[in-house]
Amino acid sequence: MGYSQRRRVEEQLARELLLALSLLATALIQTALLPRPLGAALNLLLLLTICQALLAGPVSAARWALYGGISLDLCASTALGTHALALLAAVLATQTLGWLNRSNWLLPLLAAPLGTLAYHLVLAAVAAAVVAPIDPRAYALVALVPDLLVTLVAALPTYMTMRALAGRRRGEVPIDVY
Amino acid sequence: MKGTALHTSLPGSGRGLFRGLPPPQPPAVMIRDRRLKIPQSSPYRTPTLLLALVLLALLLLVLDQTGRLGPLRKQAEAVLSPALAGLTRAGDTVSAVGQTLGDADELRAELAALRDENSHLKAENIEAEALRQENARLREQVRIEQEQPWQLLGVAVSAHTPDAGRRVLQLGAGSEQGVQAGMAVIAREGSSPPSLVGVVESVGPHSASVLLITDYSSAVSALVYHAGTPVGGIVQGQWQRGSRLQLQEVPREGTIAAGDLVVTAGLTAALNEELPRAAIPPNVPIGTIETVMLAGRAQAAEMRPFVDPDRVRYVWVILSAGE
Repeated sequence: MGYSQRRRVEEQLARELLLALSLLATALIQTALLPRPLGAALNLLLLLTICQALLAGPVSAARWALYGGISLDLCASTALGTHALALLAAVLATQTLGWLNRSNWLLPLLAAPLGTLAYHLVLAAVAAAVVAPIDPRAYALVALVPDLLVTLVAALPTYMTMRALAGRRRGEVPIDVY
Repeated sequence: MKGTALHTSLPGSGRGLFRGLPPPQPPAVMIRDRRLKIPQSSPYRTPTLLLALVLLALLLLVLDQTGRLGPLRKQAEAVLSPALAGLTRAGDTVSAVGQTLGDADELRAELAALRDENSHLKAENIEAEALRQENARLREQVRIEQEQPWQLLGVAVSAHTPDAGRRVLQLGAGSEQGVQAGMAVIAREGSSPPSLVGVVESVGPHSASVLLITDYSSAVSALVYHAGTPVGGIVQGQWQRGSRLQLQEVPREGTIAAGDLVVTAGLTAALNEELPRAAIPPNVPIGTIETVMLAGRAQAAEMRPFVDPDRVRYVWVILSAGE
């Protein structure tokens, strides 16, 4: 392994570590700091992962899903890998919207419910398999629907912000498709 | 072949720092040289990576469930716990502040409700105080009725007539309550006995006007008890003359002295033409004698009433003196 290649690997590792730490901080904030009006909290990592999947593609978003999921599992004391699997499912679900241009405002509004649905399906399935059987109707009413609504409300502003930041990094001029 | 393009387009390649070195291989070629690497242009790259990450997550799940990640997880949680606790405290503080701000409308509504309740309670308190006073007055009335053969009607004074020329009280009861002109009105003040304060002058259905005994036009027949011997006289109001009461027309042969008790004689109807139906019963206390003086062929005396008629707020009308 040459010097430049080793350095490239080190830089890549540093970037991954920074990403993992950032997502860990996000998980901490989501778990402990975010307000819970009426018992429903914003699933920040799910939202960020969905937006990242739409903006940067599935591979980058899958890394976010893995790091963020493990962080969430550590913060929430759930079985390690549970949230990672759920977030990966959300990433995969958003890939069904690949036919939409990322400049289209509908993209986050469609991806948010789709990703949230996939996320909760996997989360409920893993919880049922690992912890105890759950009542699907009660789970939908208590966990899925509030989470879906909150994510849907926050999807568009989050997506627009992340898209603007990504575009600024690349020197792009945002063009929206109505 | 980006790498190749980059390499060939480098200015001065093959010279300077790169002179003598073997030409660098393009990254794609290097990746291809490794059997485990997947080319970036491969359509299988993304699904493979996703699958690998899913499998990694599943592996983590299995390892965690079998307890093989226990120590590692405990260490991670030990590191995260203080941060979680601190953030939770901060979150609670922020939530409390936010909730306080968010509850402003609720607090305003609660404040309005509390003010309303306070107002109601004050009204109830006033009502309770009025009931307590009424109860005390009724007890007093019962006590008076037990001591004297009088039937009483307790009435609140509704007004003191502001007319400077006459001393009159307005009562909140009239003919509908059995009040008639000429009836005696008594009151009590402190430890004084229930004493005469005036005579009902005119009556409406629900109101009555009482001429106070201190008015100059008021004349009430009276008896003075001196050493058990009664002496007659007339109690005349003196307010317009700068005094209160004066006992007049006391015969010279009668003996009276300061401190003697003056009570009604029950003869007012015969003495006062303006009050033809005067029905003041005898032996109603009026006051005491302060100073005695000679007035022509008779005696007179300055009197001190037991009750100051100007200060009474509640009186009893003697409806009947059923002896």
